[in-house]
Amino acid sequence: MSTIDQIDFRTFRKLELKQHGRAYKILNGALKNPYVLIAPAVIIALGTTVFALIFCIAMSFMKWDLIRGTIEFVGFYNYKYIFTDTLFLTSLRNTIVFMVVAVFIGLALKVVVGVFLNKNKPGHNLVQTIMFTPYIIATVAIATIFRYMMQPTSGVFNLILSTLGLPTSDWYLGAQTALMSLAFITIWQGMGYGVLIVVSGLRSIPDYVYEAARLDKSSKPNTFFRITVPLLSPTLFYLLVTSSVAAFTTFDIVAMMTDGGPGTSTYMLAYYVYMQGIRFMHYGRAMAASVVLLLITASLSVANFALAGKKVHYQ
Amino acid sequence: MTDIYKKSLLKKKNPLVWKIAECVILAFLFILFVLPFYYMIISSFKSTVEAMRNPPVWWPAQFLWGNFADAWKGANFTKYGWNSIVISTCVVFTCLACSVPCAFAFGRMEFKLKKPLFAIILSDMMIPVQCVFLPLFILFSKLGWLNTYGSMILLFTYSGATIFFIRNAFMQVNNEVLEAARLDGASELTVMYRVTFPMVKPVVVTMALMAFLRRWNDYFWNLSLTTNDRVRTLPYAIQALNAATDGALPRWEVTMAGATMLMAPMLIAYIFANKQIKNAFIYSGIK
Repeated sequence: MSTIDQIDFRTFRKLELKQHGRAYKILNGALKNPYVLIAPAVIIALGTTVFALIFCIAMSFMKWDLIRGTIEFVGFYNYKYIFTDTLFLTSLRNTIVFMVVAVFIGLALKVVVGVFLNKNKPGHNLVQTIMFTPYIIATVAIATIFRYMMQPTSGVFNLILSTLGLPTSDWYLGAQTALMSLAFITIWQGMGYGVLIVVSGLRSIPDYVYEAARLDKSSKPNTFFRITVPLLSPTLFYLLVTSSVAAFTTFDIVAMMTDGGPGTSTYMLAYYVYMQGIRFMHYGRAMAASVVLLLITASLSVANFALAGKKVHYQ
Repeated sequence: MTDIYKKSLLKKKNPLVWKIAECVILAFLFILFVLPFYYMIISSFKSTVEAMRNPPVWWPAQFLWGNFADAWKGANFTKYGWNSIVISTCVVFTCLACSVPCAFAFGRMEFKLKKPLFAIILSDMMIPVQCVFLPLFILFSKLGWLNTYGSMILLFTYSGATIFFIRNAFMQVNNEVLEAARLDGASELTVMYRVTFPMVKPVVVTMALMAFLRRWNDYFWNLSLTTNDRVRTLPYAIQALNAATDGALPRWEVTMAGATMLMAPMLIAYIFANKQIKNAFIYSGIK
């Protein structure tokens, strides 16, 4: 590091001599105490996540009557309620379908496009840069564009489909296609980020590995599946975990585009929790549902970690 | 990509066919990602009739700038935009003020309870927001914090990921440099602000950018922790404009103008600094 050369030590001395005020001393002492430094972050973390979570789990066993203002312990009543609630079961199923499509098809596409774009040519770099744009744009703007483009009668998507001679679709307004439309938008928005991560993962694979493969006369598919994919597995693993948790907690796009409809075809867990909690004020049910959500995402992470220990190839 | 691998890819029987296929795929991807943005921006200049015409209009007969004024008024940009700017800017400062010292302590100091405390810091990366927003809603309503700037800023002040990445940067700072500064009589404050901080500056700038982005684009907390319009920000306003479109006479051009204005700052920033922004995300993705 060249920083050491840039430091003018006389400035330090001057600073030392000049600033012996009380505030300076107190601040200086505080900086030596790690507990003072971490206090704000730890306090907010405890308040906004740890205690909030404990409260959430505790409340999921309670019945909170908002009119009478009473709270009583009801055991697993809320859980029994949500697991017999068809709306909850529908949203659970929708979430799983959505997750499978958005994560697995999404990941496959990201890898294929990432491998394709991994060339240092102007055209490839331009496409990669443009592809990343949706990721930093507010989801509400993305949802607005697609609401317009997916209009069944005057939308661009159906125009393109009918020009190509394909059957048109109702997109997010059709009960059959709404969930897949949302998955499409999610994949579209996350594509650039995934490709970026895949490309930087590919660039970290050393040249000599490919040279060895070439010398051994490895075929191209063989090289891809036996060398590229295993060496890319930490990257893929990271993408898999983050995108599956994101898929399970999908809320914004549902609230913006479909409100869970048409019917209940795009009702998802996160939206169910929101509606039960904020709209219908059934705190106990909402929190029971959010605990289910937590269990799923947590077990997903744990399963992924266990799998990662065995299968993921770290260089 | 390595040269060898590139060669093996190009070693096709018919290089011309491969080249054409490559161009076609590139063009397809280009259109797939440019078209929605093009269509959105161009639609914000259309007239109401053009915006609803079938087949869609690709180039309006006349560019109507008035749509932007309508969207500005319809979504009350003056108020919500002000909220967005105030809250996002404050979040950048409070987030750094909270994260940098904390990351410094975890990266460069030894103390009891370091591990469990760090686990608490990282807890928000494991727990979905759906589990905490209701307790926070109840807590904030008891404390009377709903619909205040403070509560909206507080939620984004702490972020486990931010602290994690800045801590990693601190851990990479060479210890000898700090020792040298201390030997020369620099106080801890001087060491931190004159020696350590400049070394982790790139990461901190990146994290500041991401804090701003997170808050600017946020919709969920906007919706769940407010009960009136006082501190709601632009994404909420655009969504309200959107919902109005579901009415009898949809005015898509106004909605598009609103969404264009919402994304304009990010789009302009990205056009000028796409390398830095992309690198920031690579950094946060690969540990």
